[in-house]
Amino acid sequence: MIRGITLARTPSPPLYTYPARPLNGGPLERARPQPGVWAAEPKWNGWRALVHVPSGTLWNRHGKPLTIAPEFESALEILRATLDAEAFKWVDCEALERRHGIGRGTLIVLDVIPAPGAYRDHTPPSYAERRAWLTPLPVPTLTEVKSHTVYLTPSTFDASRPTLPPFPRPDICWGQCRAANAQLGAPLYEGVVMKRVDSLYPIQLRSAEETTPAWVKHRWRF
Amino acid sequence: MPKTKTALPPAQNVAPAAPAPAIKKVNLAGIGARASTKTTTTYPVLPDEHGEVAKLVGDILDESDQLDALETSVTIKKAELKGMASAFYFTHHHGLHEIPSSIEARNGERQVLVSFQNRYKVVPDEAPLIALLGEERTARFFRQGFDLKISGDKIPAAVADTLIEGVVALFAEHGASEALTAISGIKPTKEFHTARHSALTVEENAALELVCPIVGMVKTKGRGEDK
Repeated sequence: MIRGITLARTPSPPLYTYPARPLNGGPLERARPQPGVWAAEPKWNGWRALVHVPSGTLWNRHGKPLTIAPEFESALEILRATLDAEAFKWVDCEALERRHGIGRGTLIVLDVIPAPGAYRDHTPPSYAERRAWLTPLPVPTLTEVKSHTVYLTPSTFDASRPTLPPFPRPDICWGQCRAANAQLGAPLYEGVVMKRVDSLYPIQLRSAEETTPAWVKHRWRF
Repeated sequence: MPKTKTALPPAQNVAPAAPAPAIKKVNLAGIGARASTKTTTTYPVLPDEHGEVAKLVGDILDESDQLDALETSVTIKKAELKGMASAFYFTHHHGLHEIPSSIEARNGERQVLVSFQNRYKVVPDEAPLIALLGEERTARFFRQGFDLKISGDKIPAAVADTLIEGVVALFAEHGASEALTAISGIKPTKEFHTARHSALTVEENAALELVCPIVGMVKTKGRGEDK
């Protein structure tokens, strides 16, 4: 899946899907137990960006062109040089811009969106499988996020990876993100997003507001 | 992989030292630029002489958090149950023609129904349907559906009657009158929302609340948060 060359850009295609939108679960301490196995990821304070890797096009969460796209040119080139643009056509990212001044111009890869064929063939990959595809991407420590680069978002699911911050439990992830904000003196994280490990990526163009019960965001009040 | 900057080669010939700069500058390289662009608008504050507002705000925020947690929990569990029930629904009824509308799920004496109504989410394009079912079955079981919306308040007043009469006549001519529906009502003009504060008295505005109430929402998200 990994290819170390940058492919020539292709024309921008129509939007394939709206980015998956999580349910709002309120503060984590109020969350109720749920069936299944869930992974916790930091909730980044940035702009949601759906990236079409072959063309380098970025859409926002409403399916409109991302107006701050020029800020991410160098991150896009890294992404295109790192991921096989044919295998990873659509990538779901968080784009860090000037909101808090940290990691400006960096793309945080949240997920990779499977091609339509995977759904037609009844073999769509789960979160766990999609996450495994992306492991060649570097994972940042919570307090060291560089500008103009590409990272894979940390997840409790990848506990075996030595470079990961220790996220043994979602509540610890929550606390670590809060501590990181305090250390940075800036709101880089807004909470955590819980993702069901056996869930499929929801492909849909009905509405940007449609939520998926497989993802739940828990935000704190500042 | 992230690009790394190429290290500069060591200098072969050391250049003469540059003259001292006219202005002594403090080296700020180690201090990150943390320009905050947070722009929370300042609004007039509701007076709270007896602490009633504070009590209500506290309750609203606490109960909204509880509500979010409970609503989300119920949504996740309903989705889980629906997934289990739909798998059973299709296997249990395969080959039958009389299909019950619901599946019952029990907890002792209590139960819930998972209902499968004749309602489906819209698919934006037929390609995935054709890939799964083939053209013949797709054409048999699916058709295009759409709603056309006419924003009446954006039609020039002078031509509104003629235009609507024309649309009604066109649908009648093609035997499609049933496809045309209209919901009509009176709504304020664009400028009313601002102009009412100067064009109407306080008493008139209060009285109007009984006839045409202003939409007011208590937002618990976004205030006091970082967005």
